[in-house]
Amino acid sequence: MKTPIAVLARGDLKHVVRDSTLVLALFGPLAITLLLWFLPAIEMLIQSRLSFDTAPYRLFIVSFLSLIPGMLFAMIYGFIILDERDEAVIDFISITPLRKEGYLTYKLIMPMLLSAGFFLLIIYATALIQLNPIHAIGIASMVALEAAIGTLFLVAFSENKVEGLAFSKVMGIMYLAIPMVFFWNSEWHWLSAFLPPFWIAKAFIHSQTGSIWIWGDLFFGTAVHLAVLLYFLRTFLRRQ
Amino acid sequence: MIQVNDLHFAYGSNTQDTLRGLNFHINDGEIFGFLGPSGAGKSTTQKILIGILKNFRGSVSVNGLDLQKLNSEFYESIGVAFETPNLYTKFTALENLEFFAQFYTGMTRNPMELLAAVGLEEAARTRVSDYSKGMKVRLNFCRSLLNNPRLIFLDEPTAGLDPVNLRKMESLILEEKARGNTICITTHDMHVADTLCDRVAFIVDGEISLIDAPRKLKLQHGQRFLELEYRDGDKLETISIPMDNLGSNKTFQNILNNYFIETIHSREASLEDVFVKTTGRSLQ
Amino acid sequence: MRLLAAMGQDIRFQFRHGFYYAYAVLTILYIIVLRLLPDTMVYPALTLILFSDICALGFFFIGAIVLLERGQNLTESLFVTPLRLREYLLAKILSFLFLATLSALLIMLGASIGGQDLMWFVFGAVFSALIYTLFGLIFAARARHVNDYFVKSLGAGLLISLPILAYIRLFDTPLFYIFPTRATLILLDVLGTDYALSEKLFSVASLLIWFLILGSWVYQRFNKYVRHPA
Repeated sequence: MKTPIAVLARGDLKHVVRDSTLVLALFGPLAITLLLWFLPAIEMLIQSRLSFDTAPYRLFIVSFLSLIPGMLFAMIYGFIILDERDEAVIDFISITPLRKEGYLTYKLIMPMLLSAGFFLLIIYATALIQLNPIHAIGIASMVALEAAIGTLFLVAFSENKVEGLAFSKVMGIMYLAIPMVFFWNSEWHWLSAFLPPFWIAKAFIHSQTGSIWIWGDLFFGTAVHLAVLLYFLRTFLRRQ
Repeated sequence: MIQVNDLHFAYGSNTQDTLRGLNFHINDGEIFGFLGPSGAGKSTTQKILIGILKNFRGSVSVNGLDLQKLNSEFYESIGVAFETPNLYTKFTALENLEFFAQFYTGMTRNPMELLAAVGLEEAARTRVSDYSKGMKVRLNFCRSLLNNPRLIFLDEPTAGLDPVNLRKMESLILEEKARGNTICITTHDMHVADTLCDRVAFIVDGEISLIDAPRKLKLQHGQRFLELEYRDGDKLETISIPMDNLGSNKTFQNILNNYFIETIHSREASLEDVFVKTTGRSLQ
Repeated sequence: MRLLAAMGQDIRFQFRHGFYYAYAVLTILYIIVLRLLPDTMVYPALTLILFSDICALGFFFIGAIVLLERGQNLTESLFVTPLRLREYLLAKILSFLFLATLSALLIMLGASIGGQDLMWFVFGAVFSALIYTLFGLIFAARARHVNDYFVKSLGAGLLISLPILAYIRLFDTPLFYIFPTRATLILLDVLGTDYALSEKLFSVASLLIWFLILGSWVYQRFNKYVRHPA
């Protein structure tokens, strides 16, 4: 007896082998990891060429780039779902024992695991910043939730792949919350607190200053992520 | 209208030919049907005739024009309905037709009248994404008629239609023939081929095994017998009687005069029988 | 006439799929960002925004639209009308150039940026979008899935964008002058930086040559894989 998840995973694997898309897609996050690996060298190069000190921006660069894999995986899985919806695969799966819920769970867990994994890889393999393991796990779970949010955003509001594309463009705006937290020296930056990455940026900053507020960031951040996730999930399920 | 000699075609890098030496002609003003199971080469043949597939061997001329030297002028006077209805789903039926109509330099038909003819006038302003399969097939048919084509290609024109709309579609196709247009149909539906086509070509494995008028084929391959069912008391009896000299057949007269007749049929072959007999294949 | 009809349809298609809304949101956002930036950073930021986001998007959008049309077999029915392949491709390209140029000009106006080199700048914006669009179409002619297309075109897109390294003065090599993007980066930058006339003329010539090369490449690929697939 094969479990439905195993069947789906094998289906995805076939997808990968046939199109080599997901394999190629892994290059994006790997390239980012490599880029960060060489960041100290690049910083030196910039320092000598442009006499511009990037050290103060290192935390910003790390927090921004470590979220990019999540966005990429959200897009990849979002478009796989849109593809399968266009080809009525979802209708077919919803009458198998896996049901639509099982299908969706699987399609959300994959980008979540991948993005959280890459996040931890980036943080610990590059060792650019020191991060307490408990804080790291807290942030990683927000990163994972965010990948699910991105995936759902694409599929909940768009009718087909082309519309998904327009939405993926809008999705990028969410990440503007990070520069807002880092560079907008005004209480107005709290305006972006409804954007999930806002809380990740906050947590990054507080994790480095040793502030007790990190726990607030992790708590409220997870709550915001869950709230957005549930809202998108409901929209998606109602749409099908 | 169409003259095809020794047509061969192979897809991409396939070493085996999909079409293996087709010879046929289609006359002006007739409905010509390609009949065969899926994968036999019907759609491939049609795609060659409309200039989509190019690298074929043999000679094909449409309207006296050598297809190897075709230009976009050619498309002013043909109409095509593909098997899978391909339409802009975020646009209404009317918008779709109006859009495609703009490409033709000649007079185009009124989209609203076309939609009314297939019973879609109520849904003219509905987006195609909300259409059922059968509605899309009908809209697809409308599109193929937009430019008043002299030559019309219909790929499985009745797929997914309910009986009422099937009837309607058949009469519309016959109407086009009455206007003097030539129609080329591919189908695996015997009934469609039988009722619509002036001549049919049986096509199996990329080869045409036979071309003739459906009626002639049915008579040729049938038996000249009459089959009667009649009631004899409580029993239902069946009897076959030769059709020759029927008027003076004693048994026949006896039954006519003394029994209650339930059915009478002549035993000509069905088109399907002929197909199975000559190609050794079923149509599914 | 056929070209106009096809282009009108493409613009309406993009509108119905929300592209104009997405661009409106982005345009407004970029105007706000540019207005908040200190004066010294406005021009480089404008160049980078137009180069990376507004123009390079053609890569994604036009290619994905073609993919969707191919997936729904729409190209099939378009090519049994008198519409020519050349017209089909031009309609796709022009409809997107319209959107990209509109957005670029609005960003410029909204951020109150201008200058006497405006003509060069507009040429740069249009051709930047054009070159990326053509690259996208090259991949769209054959890709089977949107993801497949994204990954491949993104790889190629990053590759041809390498001259950005020279623009931010990290790494330069004369080889970059072969890239069409080196030329677009010069023309998009004319408002804030002085370039010699020869450099500007070189850029225009380079872009025209690239347009001819890529244009005929796209035409051939579409003729082979989309117009006459076999």
